[in-house]
Amino acid sequence: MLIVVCMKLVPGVFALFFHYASGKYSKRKTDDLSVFFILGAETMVALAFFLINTLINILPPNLLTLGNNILTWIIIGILISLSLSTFLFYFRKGSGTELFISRKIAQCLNLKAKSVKNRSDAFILGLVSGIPEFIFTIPLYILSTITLIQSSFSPISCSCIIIFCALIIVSPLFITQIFYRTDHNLADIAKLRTKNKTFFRFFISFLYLALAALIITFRILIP
Amino acid sequence: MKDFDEKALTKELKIDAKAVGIPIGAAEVFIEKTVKAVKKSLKTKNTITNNDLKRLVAKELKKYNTDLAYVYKNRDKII
Repeated sequence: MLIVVCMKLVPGVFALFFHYASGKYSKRKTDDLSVFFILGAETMVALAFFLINTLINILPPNLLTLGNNILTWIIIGILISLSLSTFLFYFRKGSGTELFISRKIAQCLNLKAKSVKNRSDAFILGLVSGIPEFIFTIPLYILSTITLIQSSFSPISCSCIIIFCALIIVSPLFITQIFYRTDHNLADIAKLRTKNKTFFRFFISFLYLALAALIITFRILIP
Repeated sequence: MKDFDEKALTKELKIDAKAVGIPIGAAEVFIEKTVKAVKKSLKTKNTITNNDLKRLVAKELKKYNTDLAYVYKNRDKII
């Protein structure tokens, strides 16, 4: 979960959205719209978990068990490649915090953030803004879902855990909102993101590697 | 290629200024000064790229408010 929390796309879109909304609308309307953006982002996280859960349930049960050595090695391989990818191209070279997503998608998200007018616009923006980052997050959702399926929790407990995870994942949005509310602006947020860019590049890379190491230790060396 | 749109730039800057927390009255005064200075610089040029125009506006804005200049120059580099 910590890796998904460290991802920078959704908080970036939220920061832009909040900036434009507070420039155009009253404080009350901006807060109202931001609640719907956060709800949209939460819904997407919950949807991702539930869709993956449904897909896993459709597949033969013995295919997706972490005890299966081939699958475990595939997951480890994906995690190591994600670690390298994060280190090499999660952030683009340059002065800002431009991410790996294509410039057309970035422009489109920027434009949508600028043109949010009502609650449904804000909800949809929150819903779709995390999709371009799925390449980095979907393996983590799959891993979490498999772990949940293999655990002895009841379906209701699993749902509660997923909702709790969704809340943790969108916590950077609450932090951004608090940041804005404490008299900071987009310039401060952009400067902070630029300052911590290298740290996050190393940190996310390290977390992927640490996760791979944990899986090697607990699924292969000590099964 | 498109013509320099003074109204669009003023509107955009006013939104940014309000979001950054600059009082409307003060913002209107220096946005007007900025747009005038930009227009004056553009008179000597036939064409200008978007990036150069952005740099020019940011340079003028920096004289009045650094945060607003930073936001105007870097908001496309956030995601």
